[in-house]
Amino acid sequence: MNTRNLAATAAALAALVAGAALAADMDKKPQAVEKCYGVSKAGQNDCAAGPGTSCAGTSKKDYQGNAWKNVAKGTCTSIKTPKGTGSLTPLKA
Amino acid sequence: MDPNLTAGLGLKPSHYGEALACPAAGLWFEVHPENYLVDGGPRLAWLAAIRERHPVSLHGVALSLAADAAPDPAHLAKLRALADRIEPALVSEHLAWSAWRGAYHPDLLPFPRTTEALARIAANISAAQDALGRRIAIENPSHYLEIDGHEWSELEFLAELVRRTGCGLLLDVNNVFVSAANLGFSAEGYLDCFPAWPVMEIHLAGHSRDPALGEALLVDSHDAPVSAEVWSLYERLVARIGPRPTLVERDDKLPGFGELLAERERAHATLLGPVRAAA
Amino acid sequence: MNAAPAPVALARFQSAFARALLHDEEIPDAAVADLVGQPAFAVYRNTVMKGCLDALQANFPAVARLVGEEWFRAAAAVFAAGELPREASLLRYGERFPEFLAGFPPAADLPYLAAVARLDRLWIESHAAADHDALDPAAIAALGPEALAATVLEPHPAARWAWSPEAPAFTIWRANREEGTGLGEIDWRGEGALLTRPQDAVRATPLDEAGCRFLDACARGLPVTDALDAALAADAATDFARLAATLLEAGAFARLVPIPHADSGRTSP
Repeated sequence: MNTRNLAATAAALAALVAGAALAADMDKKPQAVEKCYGVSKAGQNDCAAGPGTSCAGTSKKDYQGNAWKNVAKGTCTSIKTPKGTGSLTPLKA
Repeated sequence: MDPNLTAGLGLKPSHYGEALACPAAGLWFEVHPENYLVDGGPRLAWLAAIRERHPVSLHGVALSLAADAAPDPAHLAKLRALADRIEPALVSEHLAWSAWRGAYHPDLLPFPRTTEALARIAANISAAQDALGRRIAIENPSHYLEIDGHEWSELEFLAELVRRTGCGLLLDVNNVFVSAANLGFSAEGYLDCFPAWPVMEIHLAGHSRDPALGEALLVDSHDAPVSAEVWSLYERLVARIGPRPTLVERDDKLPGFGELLAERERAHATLLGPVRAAA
Repeated sequence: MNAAPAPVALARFQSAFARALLHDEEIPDAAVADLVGQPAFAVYRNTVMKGCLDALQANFPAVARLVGEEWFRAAAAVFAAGELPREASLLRYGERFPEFLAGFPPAADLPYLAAVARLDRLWIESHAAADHDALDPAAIAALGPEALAATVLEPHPAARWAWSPEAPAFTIWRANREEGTGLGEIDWRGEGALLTRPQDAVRATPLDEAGCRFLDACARGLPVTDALDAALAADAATDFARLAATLLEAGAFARLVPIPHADSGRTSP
């Protein structure tokens, strides 16, 4: 690291300190604490085990099957990439 | 019975706020500890906040006590740390297995009740109780399959586990109802013979008919109110063995907190009601 | 079952049962084969799979919203069949799901999907990380540039960051974490994200590549001067005042660790 440009480093360090001072000066008002202590939908994953707890299935399959037939139900259909609107490939399970 | 621990409710994250504020006498909450084995953050903060106001019970689903393998020491250590922090009123687990050879199956899986299994499970329960430094209650499972090869009846098996390990029992009345319907035995007969003194806790929950098989298969789905039949089995049980901490479980199709509280009030009233233990 | 069956060895039973939960092939164990033949065996099969899929759907909400529930669960079932959870805390299930999506041919047309999945994953990690007070910016301001040079900035235990060179993953992710927020025209370029949890709720902040490289160096325990170099290598025009303000205001650091002087540092073996 001897090639480090000392002047540039000093300037960058000074800038960091200045930025820190800026952050310190920013209104110290407490961040609005989310109502649920931040337990939003993803944080609510409370699924631990099957019958007797929270994920009980049935004898009917609720996955796979013909699920691949319908692929255009998400928000991805509205996202244009440089290659156009990407699409999901339907597959047979 | 401890007046601070009559009827309780399973605690769901969407009800944290109402649970915290609820002043009902004797109310307690039960959680799956696996959902709180985190290093920090809002989940633990909530559980700790609720624990400041109400007793909390830890109802494990992952020790896999019926597997032919010792319980995971790392998991036991984490559970112990959570128990030390939360100081639960009760700790319980299932007579089932879920972990096998490094994979965790999110379900409570059955096994043939052989003498070999009995020895292994008794050793596993003892190991868990030693690691946790406390007595745990073991829950009777829901049954869906006719298993060939049982050497012990479930009641004898549970009683023998109690005798060998000093563990307690968690009697899930809905599991008995569901199993009796699926396997064709008498729920009353089972409950009337269930060993009374080791019962540390009772569970109540709703079940549903399998959408494909209908009445031929009841599923312990926890997605409906406690059924009328299960309530009457419960009242009969409390009349025989006396009041025990009772939990109303609901894990799916979750209604508002008030609706759950009303179900819990019914159990609370049963526990404090005119029915009194003879035993 | 004709003759009285011999006692079933527990381990053998469990190996055969566990295999039958995920595979339809012939079951070598007679006792388990008999169970698999009962209609109710499907309850166990379906419950195990449903438990995995529910967990993945809860853990990757932005991905699920992007591709729709049906496609998500079908893709998740392929993932779960190859990789069951390794522990009962299903909150941590799916560590390798972003990687899986990156190599999943049916999603090849959505070049941003794996990067969005990574942000969902980082959100969970931040959400469940250890509690710690965020570093007070005043501590750095008080330190001054020279002392700061001989310091390591230790990232906060709940701080997570990722640079996605291929796609505006942060914009797409953020728009899909909450209901109702639409995406307008997207400026198609790489994007970085910083997730922090200074109090209880996870906060998301955009972060450029230089910022991500700066944090990478801090996380490796390198002194601030090396972290500056790492940022400059990504962007020679890095505005460090702005970067420091962004990181400190978000609560990205836990504490300042002074580096012992070179002389004293050599006294111990």
